[in-house]
Amino acid sequence: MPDRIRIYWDANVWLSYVNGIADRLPILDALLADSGSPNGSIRLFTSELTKVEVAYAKQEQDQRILDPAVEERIDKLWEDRTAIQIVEYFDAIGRQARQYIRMSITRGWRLRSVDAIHLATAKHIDAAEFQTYEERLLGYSNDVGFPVLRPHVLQGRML
Amino acid sequence: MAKDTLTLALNGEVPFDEYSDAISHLRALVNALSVELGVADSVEWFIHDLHTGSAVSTIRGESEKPEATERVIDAYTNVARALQVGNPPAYGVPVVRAAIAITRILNSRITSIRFETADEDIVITSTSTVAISETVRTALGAVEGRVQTLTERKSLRFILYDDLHDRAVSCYVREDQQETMRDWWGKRAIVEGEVSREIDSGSPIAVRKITRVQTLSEVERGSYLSARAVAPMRPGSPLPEEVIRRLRDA
Repeated sequence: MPDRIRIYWDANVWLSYVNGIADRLPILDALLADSGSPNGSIRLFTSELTKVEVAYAKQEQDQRILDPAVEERIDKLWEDRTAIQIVEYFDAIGRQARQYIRMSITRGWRLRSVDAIHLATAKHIDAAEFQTYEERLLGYSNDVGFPVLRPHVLQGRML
Repeated sequence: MAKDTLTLALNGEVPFDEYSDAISHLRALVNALSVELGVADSVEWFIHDLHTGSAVSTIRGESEKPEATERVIDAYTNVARALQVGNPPAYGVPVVRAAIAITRILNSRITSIRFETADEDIVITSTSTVAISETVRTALGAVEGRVQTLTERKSLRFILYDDLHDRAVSCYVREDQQETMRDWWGKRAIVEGEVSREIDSGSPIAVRKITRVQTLSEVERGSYLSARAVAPMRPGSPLPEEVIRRLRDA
């Protein structure tokens, strides 16, 4: 069986799924279904950090404490490891993130440490693509060693 | 902690011939150490487990005198430490010959050799006589995977298969954790403790001083659907990328 194409999702992609943003859901649904299928061609990855960011960002969005029932359902998002692989932070990712931050200074980017950790995690898992809705990160495409793109279904792989 | 296993792992693309040679040299090394330490008649060695991925071979010593097994395992660590810094091991000729033969397996395809015991991982990446830098780093952490190998015999080691890095990770338990191990077999689990990782790849190699093993319930496929549109945006609230950016820039 050929290796699956590894796609990294930034936290804002997961939050878009939790928010149920209508014009984004069809693509996100298709990618998640592909990743979770036994015969799928991709595998979705994200950092352990995303779990914290999504829960906290939802609270910020609503300006109130997250309803425990909603929080529990958001937690379900991370449980199906056949569809979603969570990558924990460790030393090698930290060193790569540091390199990205150094590079960002020389190029005049405004790369924050959390951005750098997400990008470094994608690099660590040898991601074919980093998918995000963040315009600023889209500009870093290829400078970080892989394309940074808005979520899209890979050509020829539409379900 | 009682020690009864030692492991030799070859990393890279391992041809069968070289694997066979390495095992033969490992056998010669263990035999030579046992003879030199005067315990050859009291320890019998068995295959404990074999894993592909990085050609991991573990053997287990059984003896009426557990300390005899431990002496061989400690000597195995000493040999590896000497090899790592390019020194000949401080043992007799048969030991030195077998040890050096193992390092000669290194080539363009077998990129490193790992000597592992319950105490330590020693990675050798070159036959150079120049001391090499640190290749394994240890930190408190956790590894998630599936518990794959628990032998019927009493053992203080099990294998956790890490899907992310496609690697078998050796987990060394304390004697008081041994009974609980039975409940972990075949389950997905998060093992917390002192995690050794290869510096370059970040791949976990071993977990020691285990503080917690959390078994995970089997999750129904598609459980992520529970979170789909579970928390819609309220009118006027920022888009996901805006709120995440705000948090990161704060």
